[in-house]
Amino acid sequence: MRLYVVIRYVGMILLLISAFMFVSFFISLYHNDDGLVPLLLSALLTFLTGVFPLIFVPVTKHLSSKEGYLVVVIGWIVVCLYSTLPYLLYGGEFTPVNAWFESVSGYTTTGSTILTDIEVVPHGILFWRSATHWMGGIGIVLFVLVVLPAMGNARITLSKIEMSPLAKTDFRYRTQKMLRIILSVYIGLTIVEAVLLMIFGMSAFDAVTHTFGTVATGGFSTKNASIGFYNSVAIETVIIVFMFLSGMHFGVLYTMFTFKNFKWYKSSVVRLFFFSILIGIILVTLSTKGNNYNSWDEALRYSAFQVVSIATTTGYATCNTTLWPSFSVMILIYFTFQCACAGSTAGGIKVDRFVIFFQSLKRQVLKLQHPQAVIPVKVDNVTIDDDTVDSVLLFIVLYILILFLTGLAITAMGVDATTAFTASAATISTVGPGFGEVGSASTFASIPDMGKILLTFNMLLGRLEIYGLLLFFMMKSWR
Amino acid sequence: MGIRGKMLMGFLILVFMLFASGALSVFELTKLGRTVKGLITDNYKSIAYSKAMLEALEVQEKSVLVYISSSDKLNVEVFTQSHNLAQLYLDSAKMNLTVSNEKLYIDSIAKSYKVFNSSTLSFIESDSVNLARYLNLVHPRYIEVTHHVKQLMTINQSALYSTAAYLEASAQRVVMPGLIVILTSIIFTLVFIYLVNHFFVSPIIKLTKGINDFVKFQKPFDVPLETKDELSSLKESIVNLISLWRSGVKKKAEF
Repeated sequence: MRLYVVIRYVGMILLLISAFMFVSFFISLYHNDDGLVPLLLSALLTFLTGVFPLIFVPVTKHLSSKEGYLVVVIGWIVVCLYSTLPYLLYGGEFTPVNAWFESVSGYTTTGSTILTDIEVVPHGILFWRSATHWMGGIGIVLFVLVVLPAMGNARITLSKIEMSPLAKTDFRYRTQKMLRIILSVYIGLTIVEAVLLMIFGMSAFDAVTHTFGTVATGGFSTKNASIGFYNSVAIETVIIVFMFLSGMHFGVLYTMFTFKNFKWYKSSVVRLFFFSILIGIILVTLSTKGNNYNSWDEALRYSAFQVVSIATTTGYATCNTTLWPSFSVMILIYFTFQCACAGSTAGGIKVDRFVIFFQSLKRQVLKLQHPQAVIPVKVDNVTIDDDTVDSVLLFIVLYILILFLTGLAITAMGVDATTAFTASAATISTVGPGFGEVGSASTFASIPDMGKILLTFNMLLGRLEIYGLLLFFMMKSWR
Repeated sequence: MGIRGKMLMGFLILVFMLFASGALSVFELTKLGRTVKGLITDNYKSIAYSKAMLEALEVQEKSVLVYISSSDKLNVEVFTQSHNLAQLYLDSAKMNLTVSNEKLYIDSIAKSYKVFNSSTLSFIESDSVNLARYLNLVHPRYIEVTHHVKQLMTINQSALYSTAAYLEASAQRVVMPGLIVILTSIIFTLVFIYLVNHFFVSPIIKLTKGINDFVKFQKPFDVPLETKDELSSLKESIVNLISLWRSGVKKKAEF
């Protein structure tokens, strides 16, 4: 284990972070707001800490698997820590725990916030907050891998570790090409959405920050009422479309947009993702019409936005879903578990695992009928090996266990059961809003500090797909 | 970059961090001090103007009362002088807005004072100057205007409390930069120590051990070094020295 190599790579990640801090500083300078000094000092401190290992440690193109895990996990933790600097130096509602919560929520694209009044926060800090979504959405390590040239074998090792294991199997490209595809789709979506939002009436600042929140499936808004502030069907429609696209596998999007011979409806993952959302919208519309909304238009408008927002783990809001009928709430909770596709910016269980889960369930039922038969689990006529099936099932069990334990711990802190369990589910799935006191119209400010720390652990587990983080803590020997 | 350059960079970064911490803390403290001082001074000024306005109003009321009993025109002059004073303080208060909604209070004072002044003047100039008419026409206006002035004084007194609360909340902002930079410096120092140990101290120990092994046991001098700095030059020099020594020994053996 070469710790200095890990320090060098973490330093590179810090340099990228400091670049975004400098951009936020210039935005603060343009608006002449209170974020100026905090952002400048944070950028300088992060830059100096990041650049120093690069002076000492020579270039290393080979990374072992263990070193790769350390780079990814330490990279995420260090980046989340350094990203608290602008918040802490600014002050306001950002206590050390709140700053850590906001930072982790940003990078893991959860989008849960502790801010009760977002609109008083300076533009520079708000931009920085949204930028953490954008960097975290693609994966901070992956971002560095694409940006930096000549990293040799290290590029393959690191990309294997940070990406969802299910996403990798869907790519049929070499690592370098695959990384470029991800980044080009990501940047492409960002540019198109920002332009469309500006056309439909958002200011450039709001358009860019909300685009960061959408394509990263994050959910940080610069307004207290989230997207509901704009009360514009056009803006909501653009965001719905881009939330949906960002929830799909980027490889699928690339193939679709480059007009290659690919029929999206042949992919059972995309089919389940699309039709589950469609059915969800229909059911929620039927449930809320008459109860919350007088017209079908209105019911469809709010239902479509909320279902797509939760199903893609974005978490933007146009209304208070806590006031919806229990049936609609249960549908949204289902989507909190299902989440979006692997290979997208979303976290959580993911549709791909649901597909494998349903297929293995089908196999189990068939096995009961034909005990001697050898029945493989197949997804789109591709046989899934038993190791993958086992890891998927174990992942789902672990996911529910962690969700339950965190929820239990938070109820022990005096928080009501609905709030505690939905907060736990919303953070491990990186969705953002839950129900009860942490609903779409409220914040996580009321959760006790210890609870907030537990929830950030959930977010990291959800984003790094549980095993990555657990492996870091469970490796017996790092030498 | 050579060892000297690397060490210098490390220490310069540390110095910068500590300097930034100190400078920012001093900057925040000065800014906070100035803000708080400004707020307190402005609040104090508003309270002083309110007090002076109340005193001027009291003199105005007294002069009217004395005028009712004595019909002495001198009291009308006193009334006018106090009116000028009250107006002066009111204008000064208008120029010294510190609390939100303070303008609304001042506008109410100006409005009620205008009514009080005009009703008093019309009372003085009328034919029937008596106490009953005064109590009926002028006194309620006086009560109204003094009530508004007292309200202005109260909000400014409350603002002083808010300023103290702001001072308390801002203490975190003053301490935080120092605290953060010190923590960052500690992390940086630990990384610095690790890197110095790995890239400078450890190779020196390895080189020394390699030389000792060569001298004592004639083991081949093969010390791997990862960096290209003064230490790798030293290693090359040692290798050259050893090969020179070996060729010398060989030549000696041939003779």
